[in-house]
Amino acid sequence: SPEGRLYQSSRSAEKMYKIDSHLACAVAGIMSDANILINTARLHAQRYALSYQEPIPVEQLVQSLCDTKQGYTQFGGLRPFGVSFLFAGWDKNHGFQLYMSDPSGNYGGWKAAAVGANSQAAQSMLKQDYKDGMTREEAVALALKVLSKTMDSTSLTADKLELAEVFVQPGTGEVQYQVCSPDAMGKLLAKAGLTQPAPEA
Amino acid sequence: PQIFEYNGSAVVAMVGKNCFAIASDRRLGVQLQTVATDFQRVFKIHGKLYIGLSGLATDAQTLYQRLAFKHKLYQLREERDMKPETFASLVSALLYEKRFGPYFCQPIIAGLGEKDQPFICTMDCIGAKELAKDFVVSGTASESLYGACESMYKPDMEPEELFETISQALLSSVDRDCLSGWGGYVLIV
Repeated sequence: SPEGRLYQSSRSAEKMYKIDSHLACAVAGIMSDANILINTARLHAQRYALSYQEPIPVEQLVQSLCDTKQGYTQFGGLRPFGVSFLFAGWDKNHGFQLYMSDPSGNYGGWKAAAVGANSQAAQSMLKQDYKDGMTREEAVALALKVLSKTMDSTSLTADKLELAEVFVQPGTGEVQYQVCSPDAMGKLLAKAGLTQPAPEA
Repeated sequence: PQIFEYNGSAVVAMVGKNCFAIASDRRLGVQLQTVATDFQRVFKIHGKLYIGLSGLATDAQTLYQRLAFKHKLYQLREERDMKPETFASLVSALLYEKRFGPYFCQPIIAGLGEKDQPFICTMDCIGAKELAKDFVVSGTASESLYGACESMYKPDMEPEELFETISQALLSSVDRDCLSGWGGYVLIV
């Protein structure tokens, strides 16, 4: 969730990054370490696209990034990257995929995952409530519900959250990454019944 | 063999009223033999920026792929599209890097900049930029294109008239050049 109302980011999302048109990730941990890895990921994805003239398969990108992370745990005497990632993307071989990685460089494919503060609680909640074949709206609602129950703050407002989706655009059939605007966020929270009721006038 | 005349090409761009047009021929040849009649020489960088590359076809394709790479990274980091002027500087720098072993291409860049003001420019194969207010030409048919554009061009044309003008200029010029032709591809933005 964003740092607070004094924080002013020049980007559209604070903890979400687009790696390529079909691939995005969310970050938990040391942001400066994350920035380095995101840059590496973006370059790697573009170099693949330059050589093969097709978008990089999601697992390949995740694997290459995790190989970098692992290197820092075995060679050089440098400290590891203090970052966990959630990668979301689409490729033509396996469709939509979700991967989670941690500072050791370990990664796995998941149907639903959580990283960061209270991630164990979030993960167990997801384990209970996740169903196969959920629609996009149901997935968004579940994500918001889990986040609202595991976040430290008492109330949930649009400026404390970020939501991004990777989906197939219904008209063109292209894969898109879109960050939810604050207004749309407000509506989603209201629909999920998660906002505090307005104070009495 | 003359390297710039190996594949044959004709590319032209014109400025209109709050719009631009970029056009190219469709022939791909290997010296005198025609090998394809649907070859693409004008490439999209983003919705309001296009680049046409005349000259050696393989260099045109590679140069486009490398530029798409650089623009993609710019877009990811800046979260916006590149302005045409900035892109022109990028192309110029990329070409000059290969000063002593150049890409055998002459690019034409056409785009809509701030407030949708049309921007066109061309450069030589080592990146010397040439900004123009009216039209730019390149390729084996460039001399004919210069003549045709100079006589047919008027400033501040609306998109429909611009389309007619650029198409006529292109078709009449490539007809005088045996290495380019086989139809035209015109794009108006």
